[in-house]
Amino acid sequence: MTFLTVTGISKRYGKVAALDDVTIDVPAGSRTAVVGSSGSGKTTLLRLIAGFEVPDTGRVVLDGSVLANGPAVVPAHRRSIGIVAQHGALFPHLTVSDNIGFGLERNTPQRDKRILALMDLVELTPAMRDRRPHQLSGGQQQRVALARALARQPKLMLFDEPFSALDAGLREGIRTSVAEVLRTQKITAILVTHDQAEALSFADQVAILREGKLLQVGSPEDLYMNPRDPYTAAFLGDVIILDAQLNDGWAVCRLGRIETSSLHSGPAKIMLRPEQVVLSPVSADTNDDTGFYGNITRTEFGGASCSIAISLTDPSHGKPDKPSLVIKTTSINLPAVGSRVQIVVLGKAHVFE
Amino acid sequence: MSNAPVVLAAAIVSLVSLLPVGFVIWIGIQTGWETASALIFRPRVGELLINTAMLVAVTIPISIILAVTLAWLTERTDLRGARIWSWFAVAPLAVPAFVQSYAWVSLIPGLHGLFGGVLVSVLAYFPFLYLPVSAQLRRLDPAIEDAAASLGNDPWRVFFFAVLPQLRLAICGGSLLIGLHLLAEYGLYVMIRFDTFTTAIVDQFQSAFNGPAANMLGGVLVVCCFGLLGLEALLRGNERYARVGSGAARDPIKQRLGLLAIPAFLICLITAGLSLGVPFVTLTRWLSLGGIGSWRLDLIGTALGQTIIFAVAGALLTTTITVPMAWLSVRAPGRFQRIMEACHYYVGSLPGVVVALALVTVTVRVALPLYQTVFTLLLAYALLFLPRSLVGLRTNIAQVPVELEQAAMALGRSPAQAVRQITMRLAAPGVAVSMALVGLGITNELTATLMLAPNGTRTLAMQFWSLTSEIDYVGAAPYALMMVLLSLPMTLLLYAQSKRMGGR
Repeated sequence: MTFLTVTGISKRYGKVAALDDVTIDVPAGSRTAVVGSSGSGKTTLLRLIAGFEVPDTGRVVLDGSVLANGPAVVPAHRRSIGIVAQHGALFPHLTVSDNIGFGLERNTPQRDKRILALMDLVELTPAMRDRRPHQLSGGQQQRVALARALARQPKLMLFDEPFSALDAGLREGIRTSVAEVLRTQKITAILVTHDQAEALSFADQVAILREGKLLQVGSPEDLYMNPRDPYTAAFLGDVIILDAQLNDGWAVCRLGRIETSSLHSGPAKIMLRPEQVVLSPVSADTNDDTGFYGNITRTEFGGASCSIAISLTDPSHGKPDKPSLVIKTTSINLPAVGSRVQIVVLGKAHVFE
Repeated sequence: MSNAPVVLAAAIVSLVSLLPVGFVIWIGIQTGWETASALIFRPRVGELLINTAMLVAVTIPISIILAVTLAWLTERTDLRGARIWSWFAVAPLAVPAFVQSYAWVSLIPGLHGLFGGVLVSVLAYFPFLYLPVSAQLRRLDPAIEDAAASLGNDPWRVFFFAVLPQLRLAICGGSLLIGLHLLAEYGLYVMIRFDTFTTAIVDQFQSAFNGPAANMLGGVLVVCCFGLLGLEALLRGNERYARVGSGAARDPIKQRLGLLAIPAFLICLITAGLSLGVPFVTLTRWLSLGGIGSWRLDLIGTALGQTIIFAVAGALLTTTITVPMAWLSVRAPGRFQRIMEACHYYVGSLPGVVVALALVTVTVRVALPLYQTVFTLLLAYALLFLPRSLVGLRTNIAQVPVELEQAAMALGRSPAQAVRQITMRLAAPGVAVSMALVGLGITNELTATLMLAPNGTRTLAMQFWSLTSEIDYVGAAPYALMMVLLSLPMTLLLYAQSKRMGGR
């Protein structure tokens, strides 16, 4: 069931088109991530949904009620959409409990209890309620911002890069707990981020924006493995893109014959994720027609994952082939420079049509 | 989210602020070229023009030399007691210009003419240059001076070719401020018996009320003001003076004065003696001569009460009507907003006498019930101090992130509620300071108050003025003292602001 529908939204700032005919459906109770590099229009999209910007054309419909139809809009304060901004945007002159209670009417029954329950929900101890925002850590500030937005029981929650200002270690923990709160409260949410890993792990649905245009929408797995174009492919993770000859569901390329789900034949570009490529050490003079081999020319240690350059040997004439293949792999049992490896590709290759 | 009501409010204020210039143009058209040229092109106007031009042309260069010397001595040398001297260079701001001239005239009764005018003007106004120049000197990156020295320049050349050019903006801004004060000031020059446009206009107004002669002189005065504004814009140029590169600048090295310490000390001492010592000595003398008898508490009490009421009401009105423009210029800048902002700024550079003339004419001809009412007087104050209020409001609103306003709206507050509960609440401390600056400006306003105040009004400045007009220097002394005391907080605020601007 579609909860939020954005149809044909366009927004220009002078000559620059921030959003160009963007259409997206958000199912009830789902978590959608909008990703794109800076300047892709993702924040504009969020601000249009929140009601801080007015679209030039297009409609925004939330739960059956029209929020925006071209320049005719419902103002932000009548939309009951919660928002958590990048730095939390806590009111510096109010305490934690006053911040959380800001959206609750003064005469709300059991107001204090509600505030404490919200603090508990976002894992803040009651002792913090009289603190001021500047006495909190970045992660705690984001938890307060979340509780403040949840207090009004919004139909929809918007997150504008809420984790990007946090330390890497803190980010994952708070992301998981936010996702957990959204799941238990059954709240529909939209997250805007430039961090693809965050988008893929947080959302049920990922939308990719580039220069104001929506490139692709789909589940994280689908987008990761079946991107529509090389830009999306590269944006979501490391890729190996190869020229190949398609024939009967198989692609013939520098790494041999790889299965595809394409029915086309003829020349095409195919994509592999580096984790599909498995290297196994072999003795230095191994060369036969059954496998594909290469020599390690360079390794670069990078902690958990390392990058390896391999010069491939063409099986037909046994000479090194250029350019060399660069892949990221685990740093355990890193083959030494100069050693020879066998290359095996797991799973199917994705074909750009 | 629609800004329409805010834009409308700001547009109304902008239109009202165009009133004085609209008045000058309208009166010019109505008078007709024939009469206008007969009133403008006559020897008396030429004489006034020469007087005013001489005053500006002599006072400003002397003020620049004095202010830059003092600023350099207090900021960049090992002058002993630099902090005290720097405070003494700002303190003359606490002595209203007409109190300064009262002090000098009662010390040297024969003081008059251009020499007297220039002397008292320099002493009363040079802090307007000292403040920005010393702040700028403090902010300069010493690396530029090091670079100039390493390229083979001696200290004098370093100062003239590397330091002075960077003070250009501060000197231009301060000079403009002094120039506008010279054009607008009334009390100082009447007492020193030096005729300028402003004194002539008030004379005309008092003898012939609302004659075309006064209005035409007002028109010429407005042209002079615009001339100064244009000249400043021209001289200021558009070079870049901000520091190139990032990171915090090092503290500047203090120049060793050596044998020059004695003349440096004398310069500081003489300036402080003339600008602060003379008022202090004369005030003390008149106060002790008058003794307890000159403190007519009933009269002084009334005057003080009225002054405070006007100051508070005027500050409230001014701040309230500048909020829309300040908010727009921070949150929704654009070409139209800039034009409206320019309207807000230009009106503050007009002399009080022109604003008063315009309001007198408009109320008499269009809205007679408003003539000589407190409302009209407060409106005049609001127009005169519009820029002061706008600058303060704008900086303080700019410090409140727009995300907070939006967060409040997402939590169910209307835009107006969000601005009031969040933005204005957070900007409040800074806004209070700028309100205080407006209120204290009103305390010392004389010209517009004399021309517009309802009958029976007795502010401190008016009482002081009527007593000195009767050469009752003893009776005037308590009022002078009160005005100095009321101006002290403003001076402290300005001093603290310039220190902060310089990063200390």
